[in-house]
Amino acid sequence: MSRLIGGTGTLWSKLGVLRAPLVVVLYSSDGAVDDLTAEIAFDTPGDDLLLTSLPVDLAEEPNRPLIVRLPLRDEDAAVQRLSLERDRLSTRAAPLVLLLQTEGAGMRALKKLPFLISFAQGRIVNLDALAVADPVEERRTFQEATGLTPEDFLLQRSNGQLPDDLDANLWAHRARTLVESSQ
Amino acid sequence: VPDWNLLRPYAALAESEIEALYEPRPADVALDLAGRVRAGFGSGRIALNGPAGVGKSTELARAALELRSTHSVGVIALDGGANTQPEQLLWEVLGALVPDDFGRRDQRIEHSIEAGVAWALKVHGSTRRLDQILDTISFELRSQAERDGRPQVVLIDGLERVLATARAQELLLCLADAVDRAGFALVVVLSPWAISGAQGSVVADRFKVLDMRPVAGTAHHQVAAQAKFMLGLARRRLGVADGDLPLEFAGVWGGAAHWSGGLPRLFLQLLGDASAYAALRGAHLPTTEDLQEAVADHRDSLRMLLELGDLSALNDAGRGRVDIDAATRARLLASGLLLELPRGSVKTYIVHPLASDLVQAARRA
Repeated sequence: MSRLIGGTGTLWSKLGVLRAPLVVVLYSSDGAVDDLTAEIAFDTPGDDLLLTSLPVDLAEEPNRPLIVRLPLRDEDAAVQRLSLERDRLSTRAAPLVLLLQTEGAGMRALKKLPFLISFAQGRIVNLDALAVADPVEERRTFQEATGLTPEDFLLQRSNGQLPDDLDANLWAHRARTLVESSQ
Repeated sequence: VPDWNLLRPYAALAESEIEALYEPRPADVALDLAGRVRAGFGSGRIALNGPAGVGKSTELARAALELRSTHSVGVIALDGGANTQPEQLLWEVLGALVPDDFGRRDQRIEHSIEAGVAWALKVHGSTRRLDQILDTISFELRSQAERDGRPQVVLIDGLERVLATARAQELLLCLADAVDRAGFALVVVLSPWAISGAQGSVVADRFKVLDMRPVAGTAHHQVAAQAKFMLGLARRRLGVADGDLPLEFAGVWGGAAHWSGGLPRLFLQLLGDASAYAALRGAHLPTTEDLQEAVADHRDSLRMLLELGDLSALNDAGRGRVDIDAATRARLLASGLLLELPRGSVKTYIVHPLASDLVQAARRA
């Protein structure tokens, strides 16, 4: 199992580093995606653009992740449109994160657009698989990467000892997930 | 320490970048393409065909640069969905080769088209505006070629993306007619998926398809050529010289070259992802373990893209049975899950290394 899968905290921390124009997150229940979007919004207030629909101007805010959740009836058309604008994605430093229903029309459309898929290659993540995180291993990799335990990280962050940037936001999210999972 | 962001897996090289960043492939696609354009291959109607990430756009840019020494060259990159209809695309072809004198060109041509429509209506009782556009634009292109005193070529990148949403058959027929009427050469970029289905017969009838294959193969010399090409590609993009990368890094790029299946974009993605995993550890250079993390992500992604029956189709194709459903084969070829390689005069198929593990797991199950 890859390290991209391993809890939502892990996912968002990876996305901060893995530079990619397009990330596809598959979900099978509205509840799971509501939780995920709420977590992202909670962690990065005002920092990320949380959008509900395409089209968006892909050249705008190339350094901020664009998180796009589509109404189910729009998934197919939105994916088709995105395929036409593929080259505009390549100018982005931060990804466009497309939330699609696992067996939905958007995913079906995506499977027939190889030139668009190749931009998301390696970054198609099933949200359901995130539930199988290994907390012990997660803690170890967190500590390896940041040099701090999740508790210490959150403490230092609340004391203003850490930078207030996207990277730190992503790590904070992961820290909070780990602290909560061990309670 | 290399700046890994310079790998830019998602950016094809622009013409202006070719000299500094282009790495020649073992089989020179761009020079071959340019030579064929000069020789009138396919009566000037050529489709460059290949899987996603194989390097079609970069080779097109290099061919354009090469052709500028003998031709008037127009390059059109289709993107954004604003130019998906036949009329709009013809207008783009015109704009790529005939300079606009402060908007007077477009006015003059619009007037000419309207006059042509009115005349045809009067004489024949009916007409199609598209025919008039084709006539007028062809006349303008021929006049421009006479003024320039050199042949014309138009290279259209991204046509495969448009075909999914446009009047695909009409658009392809229209472009082929424009070539025949105006006498320019045309190269369009397509993919196995784009030339299957309803528009497939139009491509087969009116275009000569030039297949672009991954830098891959099973023979020893092919594996060595692949590794050499991929390393050169990474070095040029990163701007590092021969001795600048430590020896232990060889396992990483060699591994990335293998797992890429000969698709340059995938190679750069894997290398970039491995370097990101290294960065998460606080390291500057990726190790083979970092690469394995990246490979695992890519394999997981692939698994989610497979349709029911794909693994069995890949298994059949990899064992030399090519009688799999045509639409399935086109989709697998377009995505690079199935790789088509020439062996002498026959085509052979190999399963992409990332998909091969999935096929073997399915076989065991």
